[in-house]
Amino acid sequence: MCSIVTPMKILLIVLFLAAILLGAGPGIHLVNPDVTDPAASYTTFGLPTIYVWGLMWYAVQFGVILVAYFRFWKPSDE
Amino acid sequence: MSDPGGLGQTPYVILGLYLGLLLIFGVLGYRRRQSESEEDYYLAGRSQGWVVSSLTIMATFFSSFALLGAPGMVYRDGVVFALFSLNVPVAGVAIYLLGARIRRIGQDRGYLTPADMIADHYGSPVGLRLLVALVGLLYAVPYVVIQIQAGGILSQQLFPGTNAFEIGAGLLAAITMVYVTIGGMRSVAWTDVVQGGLLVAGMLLAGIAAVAVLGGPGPFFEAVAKLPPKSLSAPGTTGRWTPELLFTASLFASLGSMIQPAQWMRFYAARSDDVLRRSALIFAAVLTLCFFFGVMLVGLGGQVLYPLLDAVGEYRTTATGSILPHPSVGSTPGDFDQILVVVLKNHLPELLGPAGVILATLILVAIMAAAMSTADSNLHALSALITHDVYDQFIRPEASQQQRTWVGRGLIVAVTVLALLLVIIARRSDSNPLGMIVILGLLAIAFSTQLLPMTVDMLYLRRGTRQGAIAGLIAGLMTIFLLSPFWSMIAGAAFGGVLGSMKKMIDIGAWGLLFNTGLFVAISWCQRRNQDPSAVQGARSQVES
Repeated sequence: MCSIVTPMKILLIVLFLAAILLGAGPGIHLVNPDVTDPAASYTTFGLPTIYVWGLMWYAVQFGVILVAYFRFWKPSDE
Repeated sequence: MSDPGGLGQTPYVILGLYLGLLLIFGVLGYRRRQSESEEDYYLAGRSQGWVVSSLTIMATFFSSFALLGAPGMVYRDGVVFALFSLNVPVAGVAIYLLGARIRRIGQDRGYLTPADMIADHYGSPVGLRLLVALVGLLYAVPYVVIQIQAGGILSQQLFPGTNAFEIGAGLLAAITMVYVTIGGMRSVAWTDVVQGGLLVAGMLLAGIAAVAVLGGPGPFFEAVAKLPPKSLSAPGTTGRWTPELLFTASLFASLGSMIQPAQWMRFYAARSDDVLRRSALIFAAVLTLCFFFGVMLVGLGGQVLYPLLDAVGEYRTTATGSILPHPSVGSTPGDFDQILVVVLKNHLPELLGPAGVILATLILVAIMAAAMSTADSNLHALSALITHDVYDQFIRPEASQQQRTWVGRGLIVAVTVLALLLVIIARRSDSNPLGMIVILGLLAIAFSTQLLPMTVDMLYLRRGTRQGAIAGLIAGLMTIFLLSPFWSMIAGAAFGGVLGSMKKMIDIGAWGLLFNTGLFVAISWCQRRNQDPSAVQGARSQVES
């Protein structure tokens, strides 16, 4: 395991934390439809907006994991 | 033989083949043992490769929570709970960042249980060892109980008749107990390979089936878009899943699940860091997709097929105001968990004919696999905790390795019987105290999450002290106890207002973690500042990264 902190690692950590905070956290308020508003829209591209929001942040999480896997996670004991 | 839930005799045949295969793996695991030692029985000689490791980690993580609980929660609360899927990549990252270090230290020092490492690091062979073992029990016991309960729920839907619940729960408990008892970790891991494959396929097929029942992706999402506004927004139908609660539950559920005893022992059992590196990637990629495109769609489709609103557009509720499922799904608030089984049983055979029957049966067997794979891992871990952390250390330290493994086997039998009795008694009581699977699962995870501050400190920071670790852990456990349903059972409405408000704000595990970490950091900092030699000497620096 590589323990030196690099700008790339910091970027990945920030992106991953942001994906959790925005995807399954307070970030939901940014896209959450207001149920008291009769004109509120609940879908995006024909899918529930909240579902699309989750898929998007999953793509970010998985992208971060892929980069970490190939660049930083080393099979150190083999 | 009766016609099982309208699916003909197919479920009997496929279920019989599946259960027979598990027993064969149990026997093979026993015959392939390398010695009658605890290390072989509990860690399979620390020799697991990446295929077995990734599937056994997945299968242990996936429980009836995934196949019954998650679609049940989406069916009740709507699309907001689909975002809980984002906890899976966090767990994937933890497999490598925590698991690889745990494996290396465990291999170097011959550790068997989480308490071995934590008690040794903080120099607390009695207090901390017992506390960590207690945390393990608080996680493993509810998890075994809810898996057995899931076997009963499945049986009730699949084989309607007198005592179907008891027979299903008993069968799941008995078969699991047999192969875990005879084969130990080797049998558990091999059966997990079969079960892991089955449940990944089952989750995805369930999603495809739910979409197909409503006529394909276009009609499916058109129908979903017409669901009540509360089903398409946060905090959902019951108002439970505020973004803040969802965030803390997602974050700490994943981490708590990855440092629970059964997973911790899987890290010890891996052959190398690379095994866990690959497992982390597979886990994050495959499992999240299974959630998003599999079981979560079943919950949404369920809301379309079995609406929560009655003919006049009102939610069906109990006398106390709890929302109820559609009468075809169930009659109590705990019956939301049955939505997957109801959708499969009622619609697939009609849609696809004989192929639908086979598909529905395979998915139902996958539910059984999910429950059994988690029950076996937790039974096995429970046995290790009690035998190694209590019996070996305090009751009979002079026992031989062979005696220890046989005590462990006896414990597996005893715990299985007790858990089964608990499930059956709870089921027969007027208000089933075990309730919905997700609620009980999150409580178990909340207990396990309390090991997180010590784990991170031990593996990365190495600044904590023994007294800080003990005080923090006790504070975390007490907080969860106060916020759990157990407190209101004992103390009635005492502090009900404050505690109720706390529970609505963030997950109870996160509250525990706040008090736990706060006390751990404060005491450790004070002791190090005052250069308390006993405290600093207690915490050993063992991790050389």
